[in-house]
Amino acid sequence: MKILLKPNSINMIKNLENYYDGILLGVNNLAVNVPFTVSLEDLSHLIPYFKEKKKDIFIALNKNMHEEDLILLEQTMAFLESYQVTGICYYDIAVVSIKEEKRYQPPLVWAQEHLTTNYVTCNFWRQFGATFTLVSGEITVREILEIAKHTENQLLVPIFGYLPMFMSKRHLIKNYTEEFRLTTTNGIHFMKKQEKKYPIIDHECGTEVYSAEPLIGLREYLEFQNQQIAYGLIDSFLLEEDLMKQVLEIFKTVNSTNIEEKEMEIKALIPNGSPHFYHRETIYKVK
Amino acid sequence: MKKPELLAPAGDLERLKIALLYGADAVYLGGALFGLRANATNFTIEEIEEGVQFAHQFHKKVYVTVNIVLHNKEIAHLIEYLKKLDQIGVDAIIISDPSVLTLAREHTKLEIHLSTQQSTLNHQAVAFWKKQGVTRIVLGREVTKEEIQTIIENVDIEIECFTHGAMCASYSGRCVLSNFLTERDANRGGCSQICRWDFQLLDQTGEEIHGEKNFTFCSKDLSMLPVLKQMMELDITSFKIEGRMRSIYYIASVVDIYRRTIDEIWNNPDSYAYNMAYEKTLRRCANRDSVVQFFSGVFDHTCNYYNNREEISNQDFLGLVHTYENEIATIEQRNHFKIGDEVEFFGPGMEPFSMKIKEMEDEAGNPLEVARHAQQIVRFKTEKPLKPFAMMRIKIPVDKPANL
Repeated sequence: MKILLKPNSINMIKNLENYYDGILLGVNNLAVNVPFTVSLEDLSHLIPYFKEKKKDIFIALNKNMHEEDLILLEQTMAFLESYQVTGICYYDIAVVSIKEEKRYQPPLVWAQEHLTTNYVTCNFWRQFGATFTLVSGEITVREILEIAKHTENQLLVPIFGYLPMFMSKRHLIKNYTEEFRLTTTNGIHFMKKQEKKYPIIDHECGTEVYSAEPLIGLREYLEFQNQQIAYGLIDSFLLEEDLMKQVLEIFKTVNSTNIEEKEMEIKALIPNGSPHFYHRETIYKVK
Repeated sequence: MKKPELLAPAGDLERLKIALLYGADAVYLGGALFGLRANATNFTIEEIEEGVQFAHQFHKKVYVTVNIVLHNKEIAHLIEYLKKLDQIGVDAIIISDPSVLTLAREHTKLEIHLSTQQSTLNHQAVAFWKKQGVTRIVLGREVTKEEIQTIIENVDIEIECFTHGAMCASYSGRCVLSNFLTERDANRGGCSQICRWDFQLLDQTGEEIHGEKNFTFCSKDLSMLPVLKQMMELDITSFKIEGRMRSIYYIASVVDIYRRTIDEIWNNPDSYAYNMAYEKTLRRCANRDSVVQFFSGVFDHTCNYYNNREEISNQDFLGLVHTYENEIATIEQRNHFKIGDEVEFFGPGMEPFSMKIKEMEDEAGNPLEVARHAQQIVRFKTEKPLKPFAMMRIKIPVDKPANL
């Protein structure tokens, strides 16, 4: 299983290059739920760098696209066509439509977050060039393995990091501060409820909210490796580079004989980590 | 300008009949499984069949929501369910997960509409779904008037837009707050509306940012009544009212107002004038403020509802007419009323009228001063004829400000 990193800076990309097999980067104004985004100019330097290092390159174009976004989207997909990246993550179906219309080569990653929950739909999108699937963070290990069993798609499975919970076009922090004439800084805030703090960011694309605890799927990573799942996704959002280095080192060196020791190590680094929905199902009918 | 379909929610058979009788051209409903309102009453297969037969006698339509995001284990049960819907003759299914599209096409001849849950917001996405055999797209609620126009100009497909009702704070499908905070799956019908909760908002240093009211995502409801003529000029196929879990009074009031307005615009587009009395009626039957929002390009703080969850419960609905014979109406009480109250009647195919209750009696014929018991049957003489399913409400004062 390859380690795919969502970095939070250019420095992290370069400083931790020995710790990951692939990278997932978001493009300015077209990506959400990524720790930072880059320009096409940045990509023109980074992509050759990654290819030289033999890293897999995934690009996120996973924003909900409005009409005004389509020109930039088309330009970006044309750019990526010339660079032959490993995969393009999409949420909006405009990406699929444009790929089909222009017959672009790079494979797609079905990355509709909370909607990527079953194998029939994996196979539906495969027909349209989505040969990868970034599975939902809200399904169990058993469900993930069942998807793997019934699709030829290569799976990208979240194994570490804060999970996205919410995305809105509305600027919810800005709206609140404007309503009550308050001031605050830009950047990450937190919503607190019942002693839990949920990171919330209000930026040009809207408002994102994340889980209160980072996902830790170390033991599950071994299980995914055994089942030959293609990629484990590690997200560095809100985490310092030094900490990420230690986390990546743990994932790199964990095996079935040292798992208990590694679990204790990672718990010491991330005391509020959680397996989230790996082993618990949500309900939806209460009466 | 094409005349749009008025599409109303049907939480159960009673609400289905009310919606259609009060002027909806079509209704949408959910079965016991596979719909995004798992905790609504929902319909058994037999009830769906009865609803379809009821609707079809009036040449009206029934769409069934099959719009959850499926997990692997649900797929096996789905095929049988889709076949039954096909046999019953539902007019379309509303889906969000493409696995339902695949299975419906393989096993049935059902017409397929794409749910707002897929957040379709641009013509490229619409064009894709048209190629897959989808015949109607329910657009995401974040589209502006100009975006709708561009979509309709570029793709020849039926377009449905939300016109009235509750709004999600997020892009549809892109919220699992409910999953994380209450373990209830938002994308399989279990949403516990976390967006309406209050939170403390902290900045990067941990300092609380606090205004007069608590921080929340809660948005005001949608009401497109002020821009309905503009919507009709865009040639949108269907105007959708949200609210399968709303009361029969809400459904009747909202459908009635939108029916009247669509017909007024259609019959006299040049002389149509916005009716403030209609707006007042709509405001009173809701429990939250409602505004136009994204259609007009507005999604700022004026669209949020900071009211510490103090939503107002409506007490206007007083009774449901069962029968009318020999100038006497038989009415089922839905809220307290008494002799001397000024009330208003409205209903399918009638002009509203108001009157003062002068005398009334209970089911056994005994004189009654007050109808105080829930669903109590009372009788009294009304000043004009009524039909079954007409409703009685508090007379809305003309000169009082709107409720909210």
